[in-house]
Amino acid sequence: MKEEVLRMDRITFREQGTTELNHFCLDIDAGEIVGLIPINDTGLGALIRLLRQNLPLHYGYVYYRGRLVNHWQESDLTYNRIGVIESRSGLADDLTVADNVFVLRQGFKKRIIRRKVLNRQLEPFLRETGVKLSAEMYARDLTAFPRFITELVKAVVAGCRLIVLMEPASVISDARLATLQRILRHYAGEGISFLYVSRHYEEARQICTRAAIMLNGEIAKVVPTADTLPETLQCFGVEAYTQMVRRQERAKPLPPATAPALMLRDLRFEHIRSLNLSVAPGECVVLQDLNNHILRDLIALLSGARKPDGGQLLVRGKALAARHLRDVAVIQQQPAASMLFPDLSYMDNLCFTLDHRTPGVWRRSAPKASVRAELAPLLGEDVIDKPVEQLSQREKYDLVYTRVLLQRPGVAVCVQPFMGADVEQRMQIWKLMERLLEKGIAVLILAVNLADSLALADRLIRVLGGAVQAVYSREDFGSLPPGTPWHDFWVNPERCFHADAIPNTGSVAPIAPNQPQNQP
Amino acid sequence: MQAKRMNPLRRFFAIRGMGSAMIAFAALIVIYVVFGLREPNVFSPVNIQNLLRSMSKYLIIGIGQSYLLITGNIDLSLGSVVGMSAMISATLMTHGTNPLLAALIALLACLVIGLINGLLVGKAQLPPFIATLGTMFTARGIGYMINGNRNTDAIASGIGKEAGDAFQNFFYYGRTLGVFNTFLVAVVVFIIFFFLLSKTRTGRHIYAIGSNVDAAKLSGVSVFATTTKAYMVSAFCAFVVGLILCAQAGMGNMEAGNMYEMYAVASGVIGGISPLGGTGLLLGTFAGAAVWQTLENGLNMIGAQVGLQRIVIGVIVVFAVLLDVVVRRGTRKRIK
Repeated sequence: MKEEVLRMDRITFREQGTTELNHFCLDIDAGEIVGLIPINDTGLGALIRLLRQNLPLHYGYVYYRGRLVNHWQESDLTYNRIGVIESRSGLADDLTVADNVFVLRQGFKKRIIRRKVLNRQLEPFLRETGVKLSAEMYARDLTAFPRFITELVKAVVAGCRLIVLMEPASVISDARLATLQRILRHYAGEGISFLYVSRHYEEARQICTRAAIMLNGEIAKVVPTADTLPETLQCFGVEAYTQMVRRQERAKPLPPATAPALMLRDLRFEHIRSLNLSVAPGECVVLQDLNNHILRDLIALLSGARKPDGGQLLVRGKALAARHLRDVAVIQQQPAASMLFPDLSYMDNLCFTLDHRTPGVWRRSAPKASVRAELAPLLGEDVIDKPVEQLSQREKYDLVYTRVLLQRPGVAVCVQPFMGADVEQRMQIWKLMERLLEKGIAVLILAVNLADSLALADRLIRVLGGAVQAVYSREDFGSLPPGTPWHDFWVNPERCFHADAIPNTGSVAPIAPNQPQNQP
Repeated sequence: MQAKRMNPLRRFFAIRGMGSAMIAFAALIVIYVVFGLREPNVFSPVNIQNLLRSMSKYLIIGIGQSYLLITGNIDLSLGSVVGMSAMISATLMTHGTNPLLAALIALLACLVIGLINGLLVGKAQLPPFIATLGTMFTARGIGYMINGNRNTDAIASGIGKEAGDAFQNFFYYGRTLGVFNTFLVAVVVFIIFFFLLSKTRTGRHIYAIGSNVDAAKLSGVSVFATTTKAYMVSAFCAFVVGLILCAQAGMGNMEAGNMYEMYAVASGVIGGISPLGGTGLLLGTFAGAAVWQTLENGLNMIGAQVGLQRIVIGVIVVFAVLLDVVVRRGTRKRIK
């Protein structure tokens, strides 16, 4: 008989008056890798918090390793030994790998740290993973994959029988993802279970035995991963998105052949060695870094923070210099958190990169008033008067992308734009990027995994070891590996979805705040 | 289409930092009235004049520190640069140099310290506390050495009585339209730097760096240049205060400006400049400096001990910072 590791039974969980989880049911057996595909973000953060800590429930029962650890009548706020590995590092940067794994662990009692002993103890764990990693290395110096492996080993050493992996493909390159999957299977064989959170069914089905589809804070369906994508997911709001992509795809003309907006010629800098590429105005190019080494370097170069060691970086035909920095707009991943100035007003945020076009924007009120009058119908009258931190996620995305639109750069560099975005957000980001392209702004998407980037791309450039490995035009996307998100879309471009079978073809309706719920 | 606007009052208070500045002004009025009721001389025109003159030093130095606090940095060398400015200008004047030239040389020396601070913090990315701690000792050391480790003679003796008197009148004892020149100098400095902070690109960059430095970098803001500018502003303010202290004492005092960096922090945070960076208005610094000076003045006039004055001011500073932290935390919670 299979041993059950986790059972969440009819959980209803509320935070600050909002129902985050609603009759949520999930069970995971020992040694099982279960996928979790959130269609929207409702309840995902709450689920993770609830797995980590036994917080007060509105209703339901949580069993971990066969023991009732939390129920609606009594929650003791204790912590469960469940590991959560997220896209941002959970390690102490200034400690070594060995220190992170052993010393920062509940129950570590030694008072005197003997580095050699720790290193020796860590060795078999690292050998088990097959990843070459020095125990003496500082966490700060780890790239994404070794960092992920360190956190994984840390969770295993800490005795976690369930480990939650939050969108690993958003930080781990395709090449390393296969290694990670091998390691996960190895640990699964030893009885450790995994909850693999992924936005893409194609990714989850490569490793998971079954996948739970989460919508509006409840598990809408659990499907065996042998099923193909459309039959299982189309009913959950993805259809509208897919149709939008398909419609746009058909209507999309190829960008006209003009002088490139961005050109990299034999570019060399740190991990980048001899990178050549060009992006035309109005063209969308995806640069996929297969081993996730060059993105940071490329961002440093494109934002003007660093200068290349060799080669050329030309924007609108000119070398990128301090006075031309506004010719490039870099939109970091999850821009709602990373690209806004919470202490400046909405209008200041919006006009922040406008001063090269309108020098008097800070001195006189007329330019801002004119921007306001022009954009208020698009962004919302009330929205403009709100403090930035009170904006919704959607409004924040609008603000960041509209700022870039006002800036009118030659090229907009979007770093993993779809990372952590649910279906609704993806649709919005998609439209915002379309708006940039329509204005003739070149879009360069920097990605580790392809996610939804391909749906918008004119070309895909795969980079391995700092140099271009392959270039795919739109016609060649079908020849990408089968695990690629939207692979079916490119293999069967004429395939139609059965719209009749869909209960709601609109976008996903988020659960209303304070929605009345049945009392237990 | 005419965009629908918020009502003007809400709009006024929606300006980030305006609420805190207004609270500081309200506190100023309350403190002033309370002291006035206890000691009627507080309301006398002479006292008001003196109050304005005394607060000018704190206002100017507070402006310099506020620039840095808004960028999320701090300048511990401010007080020492004040002392250095006073000593250089006084020493040169006692050696017969024209006051204008002496002031110019002092200004250059102060700006060099500002530039070094900017380089250390913006370029070398040293923690501002450590970098400016180093320059604090350096500037004080220069101040000591400039006149052979002793205070200067009276400035009027070196450049002649007329030039010395003119200098002292311009910066401290003279009046224009019935107001002490010191206060007018402070107002001019305030207007210039208020404009720079609120109406120029550099000003927005200063706020942006304090608010989200990574986003600022990605938006093409040179963090080094902006940080250096802020340190230069701070050094300039210290220079002006140095001249005021020199004019007030009529000589160069090696200990001039001692602890002024802390008074500057206090003026800023009482007025709502966030020590966490990104928020605050110079209007608040104005109120903060006024609160500080009114407290000192009022406690003096009612005969309170110096120790008590320090305790009261200390409590108010902690309370102001606590208020900022609580408000920020509350805002974050509301958003969650």
